[in-house]
Amino acid sequence: MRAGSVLLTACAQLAENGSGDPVDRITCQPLNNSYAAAGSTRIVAGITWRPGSEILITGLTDSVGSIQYNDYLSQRRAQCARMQLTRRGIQPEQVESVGGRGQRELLVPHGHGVSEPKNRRFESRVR
Amino acid sequence: MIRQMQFHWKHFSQIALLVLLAGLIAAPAAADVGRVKVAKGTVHIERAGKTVPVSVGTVVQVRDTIVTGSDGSVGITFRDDSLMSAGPNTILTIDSFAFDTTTHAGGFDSTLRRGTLTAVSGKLVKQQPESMRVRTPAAIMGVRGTEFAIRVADSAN
Repeated sequence: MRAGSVLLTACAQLAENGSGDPVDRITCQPLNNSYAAAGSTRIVAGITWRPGSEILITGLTDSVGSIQYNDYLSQRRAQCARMQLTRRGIQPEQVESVGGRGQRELLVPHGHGVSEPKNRRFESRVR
Repeated sequence: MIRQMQFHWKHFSQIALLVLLAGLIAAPAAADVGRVKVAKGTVHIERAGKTVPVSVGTVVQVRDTIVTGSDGSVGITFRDDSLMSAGPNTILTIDSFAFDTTTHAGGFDSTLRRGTLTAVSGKLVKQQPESMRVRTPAAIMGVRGTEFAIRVADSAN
């Protein structure tokens, strides 16, 4: 668990170093709470239960910033999520894809440039 | 000034650690484009002149030819969520597959030489109609909708 917390810090620091944008800084932190832990446990259970299953991780952003920057940010967010999940028992070879969709799939739809915490997220799917 | 330097070095070492770990957690090889989800009866993959046995979880790669026997059937999920189901006596080749997880752009070409194929298109077609194409001895199908079925009769029949 000690190694895991180092990972988490590294990830958050990288984000912070990347742009200085406070939106970046918080991206990795919500993963370290009980909600994320329960979600990760569900994912690990789901992938163990289904033979031949794989996990897809997609990072997403809100609409603040350029499309290019959000693509990059969402990809980093997905990488961060992968580290979290492998730390919790997902085997690296079970991760089928780690990608970012930037601001293309807003959970809460709105115009460009609106800061919306619900849109800053990652989604992981077992199939 | 010294403080600032230390601050930067701290970041540097953490980034280095992150890069190192990212390297250790190997990404799936680009050639892996799908995975077998269902396999029944006699099924194998012909890959670079070799025969690869198929079971649930077997990875499908570009240029693989999937072959089912008279009692065989197989279901494959591809990276973009498109699904292919091949019935008995089928020969299906994955000619090319490209999928950008960010933009969902790319293309998926396959050839059904013999047998039956039912398919559900995925994110590629949703993003760009006809980015999924299935070649048969008679025609090339560009996929616009979501579900389709093709049968190619064995010329020996």
